Amino acid sequence: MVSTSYPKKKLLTLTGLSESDVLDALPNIKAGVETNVDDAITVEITGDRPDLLSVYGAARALKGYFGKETGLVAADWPSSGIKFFVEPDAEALRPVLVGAVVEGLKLDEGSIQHLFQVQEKLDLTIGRRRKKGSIGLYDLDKLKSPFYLKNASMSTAFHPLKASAKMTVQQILKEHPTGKDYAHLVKGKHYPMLVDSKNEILSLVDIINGVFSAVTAKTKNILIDITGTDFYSCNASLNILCQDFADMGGRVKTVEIHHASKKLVTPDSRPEKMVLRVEKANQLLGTALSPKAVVQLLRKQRLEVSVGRDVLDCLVPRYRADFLHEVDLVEEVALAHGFNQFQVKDPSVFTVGSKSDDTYAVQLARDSLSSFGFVEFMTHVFFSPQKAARAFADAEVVRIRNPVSEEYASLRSMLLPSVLGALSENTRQSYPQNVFEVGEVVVRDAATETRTRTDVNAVLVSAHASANLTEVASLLDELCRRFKVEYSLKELTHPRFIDGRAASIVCNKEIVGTVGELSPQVLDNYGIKVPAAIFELRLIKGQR
Amino acid sequence: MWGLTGFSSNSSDTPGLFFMKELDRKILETLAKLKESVPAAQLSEKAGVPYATLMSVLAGLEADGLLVLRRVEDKRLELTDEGREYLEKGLPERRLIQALGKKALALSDAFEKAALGPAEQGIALMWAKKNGWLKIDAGKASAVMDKVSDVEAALKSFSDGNKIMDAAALVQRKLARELTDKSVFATISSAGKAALKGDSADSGSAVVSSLTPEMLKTGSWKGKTFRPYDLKTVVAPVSVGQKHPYQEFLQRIRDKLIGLGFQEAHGPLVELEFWNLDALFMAQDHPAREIHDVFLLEDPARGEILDSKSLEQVKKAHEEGLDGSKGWRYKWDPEIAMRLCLRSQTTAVSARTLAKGQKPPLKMFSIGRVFRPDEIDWKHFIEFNQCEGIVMDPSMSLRELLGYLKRFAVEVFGAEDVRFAPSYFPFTEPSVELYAKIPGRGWAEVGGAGMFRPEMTQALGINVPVLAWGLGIDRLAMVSTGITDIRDLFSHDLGYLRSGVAKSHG
Repeated sequence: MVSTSYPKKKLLTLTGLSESDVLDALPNIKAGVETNVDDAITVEITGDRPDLLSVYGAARALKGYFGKETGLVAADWPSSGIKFFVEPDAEALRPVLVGAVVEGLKLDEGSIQHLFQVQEKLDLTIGRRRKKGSIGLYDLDKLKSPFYLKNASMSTAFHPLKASAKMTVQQILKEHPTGKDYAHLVKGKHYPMLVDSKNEILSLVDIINGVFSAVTAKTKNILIDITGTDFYSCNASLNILCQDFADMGGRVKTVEIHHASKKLVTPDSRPEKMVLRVEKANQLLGTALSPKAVVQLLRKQRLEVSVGRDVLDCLVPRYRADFLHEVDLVEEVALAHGFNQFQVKDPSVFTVGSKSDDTYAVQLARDSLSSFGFVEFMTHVFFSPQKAARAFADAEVVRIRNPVSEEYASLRSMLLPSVLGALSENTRQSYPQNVFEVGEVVVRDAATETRTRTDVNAVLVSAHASANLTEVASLLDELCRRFKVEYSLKELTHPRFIDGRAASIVCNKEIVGTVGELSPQVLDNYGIKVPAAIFELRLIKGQR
Repeated sequence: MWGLTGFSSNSSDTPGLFFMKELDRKILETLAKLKESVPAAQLSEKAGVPYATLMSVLAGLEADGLLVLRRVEDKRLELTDEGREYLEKGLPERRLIQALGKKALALSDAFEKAALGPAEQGIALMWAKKNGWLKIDAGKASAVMDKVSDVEAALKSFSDGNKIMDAAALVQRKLARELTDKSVFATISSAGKAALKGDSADSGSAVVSSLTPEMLKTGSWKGKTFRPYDLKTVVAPVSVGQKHPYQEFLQRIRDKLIGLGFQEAHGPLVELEFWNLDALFMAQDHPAREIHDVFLLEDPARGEILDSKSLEQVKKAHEEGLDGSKGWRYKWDPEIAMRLCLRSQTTAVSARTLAKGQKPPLKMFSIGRVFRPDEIDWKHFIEFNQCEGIVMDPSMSLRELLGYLKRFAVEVFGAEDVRFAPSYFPFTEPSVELYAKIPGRGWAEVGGAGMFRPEMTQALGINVPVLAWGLGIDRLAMVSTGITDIRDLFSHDLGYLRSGVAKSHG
């Protein structure tokens, strides 16, 4: 999801619709309205529709949705005669270069700001923060064709935007704010730059443009380049921009891109051919639409469709980059139909529901422990080494590479530390404090595909003036009886417990838990001023 | 004989003679020594009787006329976490105004200068405007005047320990809450003093305070009357078991889904990126796979994909597409798929379930924790619960998906009405967002749904349509339980949990 802002007046003028119609319709074309203030409507658009980033794209879709203008938008653009040459050594880092020319523009401060917003968000979304594609816009009248993509050296210098004077490439990457942000894209020896035939530097591509050919409100003719790693996404971004310019009244023209081994003409705006089976659409939607109705709906989505009986040949505009499969065409039919206009169908297939065996076990444990008079806690699976240390527990069973804070840098491998942590925040409440938790823990297990196992443990803590091992051992015994589990206790010496008052719980020759009286040191670590006896045992090994 | 909680063990050895309970004697003796009226907490300490036990016995002693209880309620103010934070750092609106000074700044710059977090920015702006501290002109803000606001004054007098004139201002803004301390003071009565001297008024008398097994054995109950209870007596708190309200909420959802014919499944919390992302047809350069959206593991960092058939098919789906799809057209890297992460969506459980090989019809659900990096505030936490459901059958359609969603909203959380908006998820097409009208709360975004893309299902060996939805359960639980701060869902406040609030919301 990415948010973008439409100038309201512009949107209403372009569509000829009322404000309330526009606001009602936007969510149905995948542009959920976030705010609507005096002069702007801010929407959140979904990741598959970068064409809706601009007010022109939104207007195009809305006019189709309301049937004011349907079918494909013509994008048969003539040649400008302008050429780009890609030098072989510049290809290594940015193998893809596409471009276009737009002539006869009448820009103003508002439209240019909107344009820059669209460019920036295309870089962010389809361009994946300029990794896959990075857009440059230049004032064509200041430049002389042809253009060359070639490598700069560290000492190459030009006057970049957002700087007061000339800077070398080295300085830009180290000191310039935008340069620093994107320096990671040009690691190594390659610094591709775009120059014109007079050797004027247009930009250090992917990083920053030069001041010399910067686009302003006075610019009439624009040169566009997109450099990147993936032709499909670069060409999609280029088509989105060009279609927007065309809708603004600009004359879009193609350019020639010359590589050592190939030549191409961009933007490639030939609509993509796809096929939709009417039966498939009806099956997936649960409808009985006629071929004619499906054609009409697709045309509202600005596709061109030739009427057929069962199979429809569709032409998809290039500014839509989200068509991979027939189901994408089916969704277009659903969008044009309107999701809220479908008659919902009640569940029709009979199946028998059931809870999992694991849930049966968890419920039996929770029922039992609460019936013993204990209060249930529910703590987080996130955990920290500090929390572990207070209870002499394993510090880091797993370590997270990108924790939001040290407090949540690990996962718990046992429940006790979290429950004691919770009790330490309840010391002003009356005692006895009898609590339990049944919950998931994560332990290492080299034999599984995730190198870990998610187990379910149960912990019980009895904290009061006369809490002791006998009391909790009796409850443990009762719990095991309910689970019909045979177990034995084996002496245990561990700093968590008072010596001679703790045991391991052994079941089928495997240690599955511990029971005992907490050592005064542990209680002290948590600021708990009464004795406490606990047990914790594994209920489910490798749940799931 | 006294005491409401039983009789002393030696009474059975001496038929006809009943001794004061040891506990009762201890309490009365302590009171007699103290002479004056003392709070129960102090009495508990002096008598060496645990507070809870003391409270359960006091009422009985009062009923027997052996002591006099006085109940006092004190109101006091306690700062919330937010209140404490502002006391320390200053109110957000104050920090904003200070950052602005007399200069006109763009709001975003002022926010940055004042080091205001995203959550605080809105608060700062709203209150600065409300207080009339702020002027916005041509997109730039400047401070107008900065007289001390009611909230500030109240916060300051609280920290100075003065009486707060305007407590309501703090409470309304949730910077403080009002607590009522209930306390009980006890004084020994003359009857109590007499009882201590062994002057048992009950012996042989016709009025007794409790029936004992001895009386039943000997028949001495005949002709006796029993001292009536004072029904205004304090009910002593008891310690009983309680289940956690949130667990109970999850349980209810489970029961509803089982009622709708769904089978429960589970999956591990630590996942391979393969099951969490790749199997869901999310391209390896998809923005939602970035470090801002998924927790990656550093140690252990790498797992192993044991399902080699799914691995091959998923690779193919990404690189060249399946079932006529174009695929994402890039070189799929198994090393990335083998990275370990924390499960970020329960759809991972659906993918695993489907890959095991399933025959239609299948209805499956899973309720489990998922983890996503996020700002931590009242609305967001980095660990939350999700509920995923899938229906697999040749007859499934979008209309039926909408039917399930509606049924689900109505049955499971009592929605009055539902609304759908188109949406986008990499693994579903069509994709839909569900909004539900909850009685008394209005419209709420409830979750996402869709039909799994063929690129996903076919890679897992499934050739029939699969409906799927994932709901953020935490938000629903907040609506259902009336909790306003997401962090309170996992509350471990014993006072709250003991109160058994879960039962009243259900």
